[in-house]
Amino acid sequence: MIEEILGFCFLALTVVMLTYLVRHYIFTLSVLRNVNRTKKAPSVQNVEFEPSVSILIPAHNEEYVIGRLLQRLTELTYPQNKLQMVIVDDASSDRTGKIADEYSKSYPFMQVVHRAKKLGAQGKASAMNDGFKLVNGEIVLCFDADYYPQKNIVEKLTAGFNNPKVGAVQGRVVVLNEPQNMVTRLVALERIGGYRVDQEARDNLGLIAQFGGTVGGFRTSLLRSLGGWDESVLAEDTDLTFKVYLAGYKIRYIVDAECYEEAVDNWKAYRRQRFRWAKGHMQCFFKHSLNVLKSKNLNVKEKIDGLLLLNVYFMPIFAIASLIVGLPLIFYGVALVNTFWLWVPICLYSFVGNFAPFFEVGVGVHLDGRTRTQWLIPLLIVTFLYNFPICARALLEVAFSKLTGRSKNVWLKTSHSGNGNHYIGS
Amino acid sequence: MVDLMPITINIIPLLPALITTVVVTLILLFLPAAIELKKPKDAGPRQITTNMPHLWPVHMSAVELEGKPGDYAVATAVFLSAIPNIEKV
Repeated sequence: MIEEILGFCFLALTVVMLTYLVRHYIFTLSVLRNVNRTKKAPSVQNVEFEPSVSILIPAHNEEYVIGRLLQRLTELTYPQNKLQMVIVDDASSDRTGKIADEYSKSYPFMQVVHRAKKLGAQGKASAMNDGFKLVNGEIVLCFDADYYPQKNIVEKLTAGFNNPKVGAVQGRVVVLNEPQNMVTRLVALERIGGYRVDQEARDNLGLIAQFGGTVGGFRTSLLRSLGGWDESVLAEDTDLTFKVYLAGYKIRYIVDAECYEEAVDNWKAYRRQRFRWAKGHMQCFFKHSLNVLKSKNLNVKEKIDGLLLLNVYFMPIFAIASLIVGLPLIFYGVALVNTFWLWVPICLYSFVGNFAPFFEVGVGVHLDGRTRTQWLIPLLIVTFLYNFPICARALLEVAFSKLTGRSKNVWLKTSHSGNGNHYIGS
Repeated sequence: MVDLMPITINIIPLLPALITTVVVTLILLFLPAAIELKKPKDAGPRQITTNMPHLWPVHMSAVELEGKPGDYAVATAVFLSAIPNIEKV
């Protein structure tokens, strides 16, 4: 009896993992197939489309990086009379607010919101909602304080709104401090897999392109109708992604709208960031799964991809569980399990790091023209193994809050030391 | 269907070969990564599209520079930074 139950569980888990394996291969092939088309068709095609744009920048204790971003925003090529920038100093205890104030004195299109200590530092969503009250542009774009965008990124991102069905856009995140150490190099690989292949494929195939919380934006009217950022979930970006699609709009991913980020540079910071993402994503799974299934605004392939996307942080747990369940079954001599168990290690290649399987990263690295970075790809197994306890803890916390009805969200902010400054030339 | 060999005492003579296979596989997998981490030649950040003229690779030894102008590390870093970067950017 136990043998049969274990066998059923094992087969179910392996089938789910094989589904992801196939999904990732389809994504990779799609990007390879469209690579020439992407090169020939830059995102900025209609220069006459120039909506008014507001840029929201939440910042909590970001004195080492905020000046870099604000300086860069003064260098944007988008007409300044169509730009508004709202910097939210989220109860910072360092010089973040002062630096922002200095810039706003020199540049009238910059406004600073100072949040009081008792209201502030409760998470990005809360800060964004405060800043959003001041937004008056047709389009609202978001940048985290540690980011460093291309000068013409606003033109590239707003070009996506030419299509009235597009409710939000997302640009590409590239790691700025990649040479710093092993952690930043592995994060860079994950980003390449996630943004150069995964996101682009979803855009190519008409699936659920994801708003990543930064380097992207919305139609202001749509975001207002959606109620802004949900402060009760930790992955407010994933939440908004599904709200946009459920409202009948699409998200465009624009691969050549690149923005450099200062990635986490130690394992502790990596763990805190990924835990926040994992828990937030799982919260969104419980919040949106049924809505996705019932929605009339989503077609079948969007529904399938939406569910797979919502499930993605459960996969490291499923993968390890299938290995553990499968081993004793082999010794029981269950023939079918023997065959499927051979697939498990191959399936593991689909759940490395943040949605970035080995072959997706490999193709992304190749398309970026990188060379020896390929050599680091086997090390992604380290991030996979590290993600397993992170996702398991996130699942336990979400399950506990569901069972007890008590929800405790602690926003563990990623701190930035300004190491990325070394990699920006003068 | 695949018939897997049952694990019994008879497997012991095969252990050296098994261990050698595992070790060689691990070396083949991770040695290149170790080399690239030790002596990075493709560490970025890269100018992936043509309109980011402000980003250039910086030599690691120059980044982690600490010390007085006369120190060996500083002199080495200054010397290295003067050598043109011939990598494809």
